[in-house]
Amino acid sequence: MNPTATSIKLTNCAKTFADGTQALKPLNLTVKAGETIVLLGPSGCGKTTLLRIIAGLEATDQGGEIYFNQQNMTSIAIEKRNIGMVFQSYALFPNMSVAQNIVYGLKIRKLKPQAIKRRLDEMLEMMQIEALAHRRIDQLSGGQRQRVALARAIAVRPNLLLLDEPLTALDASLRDRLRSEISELLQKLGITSIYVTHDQSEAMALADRIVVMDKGRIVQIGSPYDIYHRPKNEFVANFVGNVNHHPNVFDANYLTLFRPEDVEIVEPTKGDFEAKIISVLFLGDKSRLTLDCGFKKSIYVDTTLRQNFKTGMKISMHVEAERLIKLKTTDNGPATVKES
Amino acid sequence: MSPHYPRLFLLILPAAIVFTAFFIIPMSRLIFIGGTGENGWAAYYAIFTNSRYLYSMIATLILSFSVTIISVIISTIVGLFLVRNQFYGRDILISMLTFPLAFPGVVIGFLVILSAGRQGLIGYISKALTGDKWVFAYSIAGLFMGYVYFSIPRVILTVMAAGEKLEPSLEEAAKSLGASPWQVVKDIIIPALKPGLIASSAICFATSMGAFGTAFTLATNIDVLPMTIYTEFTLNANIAGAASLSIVLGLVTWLALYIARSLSGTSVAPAG
Ligand SMILES: Nc1ncnc2c1ncn2[C@@H]1O[C@H](COP(=O)(O)OP(=O)(O)OP(=O)(O)O)[C@@H](O)[C@H]1O
Ligand SMILES: [Mg+2]
Repeated sequence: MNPTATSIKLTNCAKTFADGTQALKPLNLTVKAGETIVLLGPSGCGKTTLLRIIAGLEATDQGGEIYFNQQNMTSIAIEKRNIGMVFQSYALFPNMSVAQNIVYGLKIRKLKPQAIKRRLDEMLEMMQIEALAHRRIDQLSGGQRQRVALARAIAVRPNLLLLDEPLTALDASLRDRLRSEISELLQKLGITSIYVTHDQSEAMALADRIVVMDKGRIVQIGSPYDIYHRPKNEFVANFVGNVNHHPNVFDANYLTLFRPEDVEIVEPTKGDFEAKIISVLFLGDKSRLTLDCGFKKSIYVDTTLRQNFKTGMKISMHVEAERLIKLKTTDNGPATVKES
Repeated sequence: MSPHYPRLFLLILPAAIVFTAFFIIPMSRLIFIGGTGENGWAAYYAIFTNSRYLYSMIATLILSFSVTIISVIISTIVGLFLVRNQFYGRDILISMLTFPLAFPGVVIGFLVILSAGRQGLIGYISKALTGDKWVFAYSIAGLFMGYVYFSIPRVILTVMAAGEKLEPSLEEAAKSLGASPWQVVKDIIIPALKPGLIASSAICFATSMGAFGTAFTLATNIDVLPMTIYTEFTLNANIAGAASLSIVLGLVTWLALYIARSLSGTSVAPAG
C-alpha cells in the first residue's frame, strides 16, 4: 500500500438540489486508505452526486461532514483537496497539447521544471502514450484520450482518485482492455480510489469493496464476492447478476433464490424440480437455457455440459443447499445499511 | 483540365461580380482620385507630413484601441455573468443591453450629451458631490463613452454565444487539479472565448475607426479621422485629400486587424 494513501469518512451526507430533488438520503461511508471502492447502481441513483460531494464540486446538505484522514474537509474548496478526477467526457483542455494537459496540475503546484519533465516522462511511459506527447487533443482517439485523462489525474500524486464512468464512452473491446489496465494501475499505485459505474462486471473486476446504491441510498457494502453470493436483498441480487426464484421452496419468511450457473442438470426425475426448455442460447463455452416450470417467471440455467439441448426437452435440476441465496422477506424493501 | 473547374467558376462568378462592382472599381477610382490633387501622389504622404492629419490619425487609433479594450473587458465580464446566472428579469436585461445595436451614431451622440453634456446627469451629480460640474461630452472623452456604449452589445452577444458552449467539466477538471478561480479564467475560459473575442474586437475596432455620426453630433473639439475627411471634403473642397485619407484610413485599419490576428494564432504551442 502507498504510505501516503488517505482514508475517507463521510458522515450523514445528503444532497437536496435547489429544485428540491433529493438526490442523496443522509448516508455514511468509510473508505480505507489505499482501497478501491466502486459505487454501483442504476442510472439516477445518486452515484455522480456522491462522487461530486467527495470531490468538493457539490456541497453536502447541512449536517453532513467529510473527513480525509480524520481531517475535516467539509468546507475546503475542491482546488485545495489534492484529488485527481477523471470525467466521463474526459474534459481534456482543448487549448493545450497532451503534454501540457498532463503537467497542468504540476505547473499549478509550481514544481521545478526538471521535476515536471521527469513526472511527465514517467506518466507518458506508464500510460504508453510517449508518441502522443505533442499531439493536440482533437487528434486523439477515445481510448487515447482516456489514457491522457488518467495520466493528468495521477500526475499530481493525489490523495484520492475519483473516476466517474471513465469507460462508458468507449466500445466494448477497448473497454475490457482499459478496465484491466486501470485495475493493474490502481493496484500498483495504491491510491485510495472511488470509481463510479453502472456496469456490474466493471465493478466486480475493479473493486476491493462495492457500494451498491439505489434511489439515493446505500443498499449494501461488501466485497465483490459477498455482493454476488450474499446479496442483501433482491434488488442487489438482480443488479449484480441474474437470479432465479426457486420453484418449489416456499417459506413465508424467506425468499429463496439461486444463480443460473449454480444449477446442476441431473438424470431425469432425480432432481429437485423439472422444467421444459423454451429456448437455448449456445455461447460456445456454455449454453444458456430458458426454462418454463409452470410459474410466471422463467428460470435461467447456465451449463457447461457438452450436450445438444433442444427446445421442448424436459430436464431435471438440482441446486446444492449451500448455493441457495436465502433472503428474509422483510429485507426486500429498500434498505438502509448500517456500516459494520 | 479537371472537370470540376467549370462548376467552380460558376460558383465563384457571383462573388467575383459583386467584388468587382462594389470593391475593385470604386476603390481603384478612389485611389486614383487621391492622386489628382495639386500635390499629385504625394497626397498619400500627407498623413505623415501634415501635422493635423497625423495628429488626427494617432488620436483615432488610440481612441479605437482603448474603446476596443474597455468594451471587451466589460462585455466579457457581463456576458459571462449573464450566461452563468439565472435571475429574475434576466431576459429583459439582456434585451435592454442589446438595445443600442439599432441606434445610428447621431442618437448615440445625443445620449452622450444627455449624460455628460452641459445639462447632463453626470454634471449634475458631480456638482452636488464635488462642487465641480463635469462636462466632457464635447471632447474625445465623450466620444469614447459613446463608442464604448455602442460597442458593448456586439461583444456581449458574441461572448454569450461562446460562453453557453463552454463545457462545465473543463472548469471542474482545472479546479480538481488545483487551479484557483483566476487560473481557471486565464487557462480555460479565456482560451475558449478567444476566437469570439478576436472577431468581435476586430469589428469593434474597425467600427470605431470609421464611425462618424457620433463625432459629428458632438462636434467642436473632436478631430478624429472620419471628421477630418468630412472637413476636407465639404468645407475645404479638397477632394483628392479626402480620398487619399480614406484610403489610408482603410489601410491602417486593415493592417491593425491583420497584426492582431497573426499575433493571436489559434494553434497549440508545443510543450517543452
Ligand atoms: N444539478 C441538479 N439539479 C437537480 N437535480 C439533479 C442535479 N444533478 C442531478 N440531479 C438529480 O439527482 C439524481 C441523482 O443524479 P446522479 O447524477 O447522481 O445519478 P447517477 O447515479 O450518477 O446516474 P447516471 O448513472 O445516469 O450517471 C437524479 O435524479 C438527477 O436527476
Ligand atoms: Mg452519473
